[in-house]
Amino acid sequence: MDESTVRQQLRDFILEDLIRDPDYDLEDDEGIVSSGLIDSFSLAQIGVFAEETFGVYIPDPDLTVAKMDTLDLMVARILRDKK
Amino acid sequence: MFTLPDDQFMGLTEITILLIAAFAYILIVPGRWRGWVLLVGSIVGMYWLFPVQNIRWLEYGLATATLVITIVSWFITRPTGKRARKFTNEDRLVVVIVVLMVLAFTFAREVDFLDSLISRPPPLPSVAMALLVVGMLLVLMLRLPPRLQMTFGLLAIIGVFIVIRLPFLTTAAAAFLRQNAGQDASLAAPIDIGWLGFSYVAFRLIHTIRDRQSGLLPALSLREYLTYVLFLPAYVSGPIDRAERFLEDDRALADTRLQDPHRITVGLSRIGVGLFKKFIIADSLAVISLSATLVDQAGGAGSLWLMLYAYAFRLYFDFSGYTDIAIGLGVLFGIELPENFNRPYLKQSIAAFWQSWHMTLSNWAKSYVYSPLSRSLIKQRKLSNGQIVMVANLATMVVIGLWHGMTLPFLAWGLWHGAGLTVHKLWSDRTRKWYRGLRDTPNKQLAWEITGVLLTFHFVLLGWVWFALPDLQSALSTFSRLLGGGA
Amino acid sequence: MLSRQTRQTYTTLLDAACLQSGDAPVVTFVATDAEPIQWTRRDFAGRVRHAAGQLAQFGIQPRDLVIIAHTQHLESMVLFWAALYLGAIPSMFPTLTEKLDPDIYARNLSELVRLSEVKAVFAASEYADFLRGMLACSVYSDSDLLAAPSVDVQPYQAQPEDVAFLQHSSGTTGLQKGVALSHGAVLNQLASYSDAIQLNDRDVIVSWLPLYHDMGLIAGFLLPLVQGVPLVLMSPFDWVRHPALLLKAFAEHRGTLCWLPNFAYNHLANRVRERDSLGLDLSNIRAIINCSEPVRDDSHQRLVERFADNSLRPDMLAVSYAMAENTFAVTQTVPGHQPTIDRVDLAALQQQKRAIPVEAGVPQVSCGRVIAGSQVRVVDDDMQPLSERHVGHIQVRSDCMLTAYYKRPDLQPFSVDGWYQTGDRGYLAEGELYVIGRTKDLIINAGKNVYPQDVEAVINEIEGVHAGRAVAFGVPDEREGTELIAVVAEVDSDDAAEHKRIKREVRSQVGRATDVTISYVTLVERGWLIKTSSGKIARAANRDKWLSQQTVRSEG
Repeated sequence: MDESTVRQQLRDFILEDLIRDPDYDLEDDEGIVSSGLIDSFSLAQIGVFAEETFGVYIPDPDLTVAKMDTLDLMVARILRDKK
Repeated sequence: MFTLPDDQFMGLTEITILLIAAFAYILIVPGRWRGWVLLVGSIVGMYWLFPVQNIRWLEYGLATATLVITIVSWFITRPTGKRARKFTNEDRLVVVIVVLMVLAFTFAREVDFLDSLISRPPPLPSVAMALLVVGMLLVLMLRLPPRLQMTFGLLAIIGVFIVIRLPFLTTAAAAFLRQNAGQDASLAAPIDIGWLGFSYVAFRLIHTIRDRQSGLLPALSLREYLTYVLFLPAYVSGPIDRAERFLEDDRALADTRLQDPHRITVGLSRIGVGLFKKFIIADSLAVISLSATLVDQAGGAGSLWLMLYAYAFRLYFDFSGYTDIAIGLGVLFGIELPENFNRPYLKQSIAAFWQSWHMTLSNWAKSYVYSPLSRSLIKQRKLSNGQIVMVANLATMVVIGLWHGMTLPFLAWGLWHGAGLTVHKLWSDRTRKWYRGLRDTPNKQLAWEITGVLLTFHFVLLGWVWFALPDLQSALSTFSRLLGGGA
Repeated sequence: MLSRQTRQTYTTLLDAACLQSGDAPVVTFVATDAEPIQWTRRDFAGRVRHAAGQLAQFGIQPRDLVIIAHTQHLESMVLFWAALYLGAIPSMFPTLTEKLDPDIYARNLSELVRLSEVKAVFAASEYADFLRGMLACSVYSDSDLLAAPSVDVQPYQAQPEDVAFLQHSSGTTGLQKGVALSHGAVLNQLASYSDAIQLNDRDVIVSWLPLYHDMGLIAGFLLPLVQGVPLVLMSPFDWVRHPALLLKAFAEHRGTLCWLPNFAYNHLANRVRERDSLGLDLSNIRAIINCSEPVRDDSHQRLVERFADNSLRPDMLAVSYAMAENTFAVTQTVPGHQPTIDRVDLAALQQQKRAIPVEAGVPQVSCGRVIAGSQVRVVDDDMQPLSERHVGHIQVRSDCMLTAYYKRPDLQPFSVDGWYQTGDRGYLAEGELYVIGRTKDLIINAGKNVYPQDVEAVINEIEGVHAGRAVAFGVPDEREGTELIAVVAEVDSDDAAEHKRIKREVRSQVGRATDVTISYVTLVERGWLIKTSSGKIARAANRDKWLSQQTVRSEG
């Protein structure tokens, strides 16, 4: 799975399932939890999505606002663990 | 071949005697003596029910061995360290009582009337020797640190279990015992050693040791522990209770109102239902139930299927009837044993089936095999989730299968169900959303539910072939004949 | 153990088991990335006495009100009991989180300090300094407590009718209402409720609930500590991000009981990864009690489906109807038995206000029977009692009700006969209570009360939004098992970038002011919102309009 596919899937997921606004213009480096766009429930949702879609298990101590706040961070983490 | 040879030893006579004993207990025994009566009664009952063995004195030996193993197991599961539980006077009293009872049983050979109660105990010198040997082994074992004691205990119990269940080992042991008893060793066969109730005893003991190892077992006195393991209504064929749960009822015995019409009605009606299921329905079905002998007499596929259906229902009514009797008796005595069956043949999936057939066994296996195995496989990080589920399911069902008997057909039966559970899991993971959507079309949902029940039932039904027949060969040929092929 | 039978042997909360001596565990605090911390009775009682002495040194007197707004659970618990020990009146308060605007938080707290004459606030050191500058009372942080000397104090000899502590209902509009509960009332509740859930000494309570919420305070804190039942506690922030933590705690500590708001069932069912739940044995759970939000049968089913492999059984599900004004529980279903499902005709329910049982009806989950010492009835708009299966206002009367709203003589919660109007609507059937919804426009989002007015007030301040032309309402979400918050605001601009800015502002400003997350933001043109004849925004009508447009969108 290449980077652009991962990025697109994560973007779709964030817009549909987390922000619930498919028309939202999400920046790659926009902090979505820290800005109040989504809440901390969604961190766990990201963990589930990563496991189900990419087969990547992100351990709980790494599912934090600091490490998962932007699309860039999420993409990097998925790609790292997929190797 | 019926899988639980132990099971035939509580017949109508025995149940009637137990009922009379229960009423005597309810009417006569004062609250604070109830626990003691249960203990003494269960020990006497165990010796009494133990079937006569081919090898001289063996029924006595095995019953006594059960007592000894249980006492040792209690000892190694006592809390140690900061929360150590001291050896109390009550514990010492129990040991004295047990020893006196064992000795009394040996003296039974001298006294005529006790002969009907306990047949053929060995002479006193042998008993004394055996006690001495065992005593020395114990002293050695107890020098080990508690953790090693428990590991040793676990291995020893599993070891004994394997010896009495794995046919070639059983035969070897039988030969050894025959020799000791001055009997012909060449006639040794697995049927020589019929250790009544040991399958259940073993699982109860293992459960307490494992719970002690994970720090979850409450402190039990020797009396409580022995009563829990040997409680007579559940001794022969379960249910497999949990010590923590049994303890709750046992400790409340003194205050429980036994002379309560409601309680007595519940107990009696449960026993009544069980008697009907076991001695009327199951026994009637026995005539046409699939078995090694009947299988040869069967005409075509049609009559074989009939026999298989009969077997499935006979097994259910016999076992659940037995459980009803055990639970009913338990209620009369003041102990609420857990349920074993919950309409298993009406379940929509194999997973649901295993949550409703022999529930105490499958719960035990889930807690002590499936869960720890999955957790440790996860830690090793080598397998994917799906693979872990598959391995854990297979392992658990194999253990359950082999618990029934350590022969190839039982192994096959275990694998059969393990495979079924795995397939079900894969299927249900993929169809979860779709199934949830069915709620909007109740007719469609009903149709699927019925399909599920039928599929599950027939999957289990075919699985019983492994159970009913004594070896792989006949099982496979039966399968082939069921499907219309030749033998 | 405290029960209705042994009720007379307890006089005040200071008779609690956690203050006795011995090695029995009182609380174990677990976290995702830290080792568990366990305190025995000896530890706990020692710390409480020490802290009480420190409070005395700070000049806190009996009957003084102290606010505990601490992030650390264990410290909060000790402070709470230390205040009780001293005879002061403690009250737990939500902490300042990263999301909240510190100025708004301080302003709210300052209002509370002023209105209720708060003597001291205990806060985490991260923001204690900041608060000190903003509040009219003393503020103490954990570093103050570490250093402060202690004196020997005698436990306060309280009367059963003395106020023990305050509970604050959530939401800014509700902030000023401090529910004052007496020792006697709380003990009555604990006794009756323990009987209702058949509490025994093999129970272990597991909880992630915040201590400033009535469910977390009573069921997840006072109940285990007073009864001597071990409590396994975790931070709500930790749990929300790592929901599997709850299940691990159950498995490792052989937990038997827990209380959850409805959304938590969905959160657990949807967001615990397979790997985290594989092999977890939940067979020891005796009851999972759904409370604090309208109960949805679908959420129960999701939980059971998801964790059936972990030995979770439907008979572990239970429900309770509770409120701070009754200390906690009013009704409770029987543990070990699945809550009754009443299938009723939806049209009859909504229009005729009658619950008519029909086979293919909408499932209503029972909240159980009323607990001992409490009574419940359903009345019409004229306060006349209704018979069973008639929908009306739910009223409660009991021996564990609030004494009053603290320092608010103007607020009279009780009617003439002592009945309390709960603000909820529902019906009784076969002796069991079914709750349908709220009387007012309150949104209950993830177990939290959210007043639409508060949200609207924030949005009206945002540049680009027409003042007074914004509406907030709740949207039930099946996947989340709770109400999500939707906001519709009228704006002038057509510009996409401007819309994006406004949307971002809406979400962040509301979050910072109220700690609430808006799920749906819809910007509309002028005149879109429906008004009532008197010119006010009609929330319900706008909600329906928005919902119908949503369906059109998703089908289109």
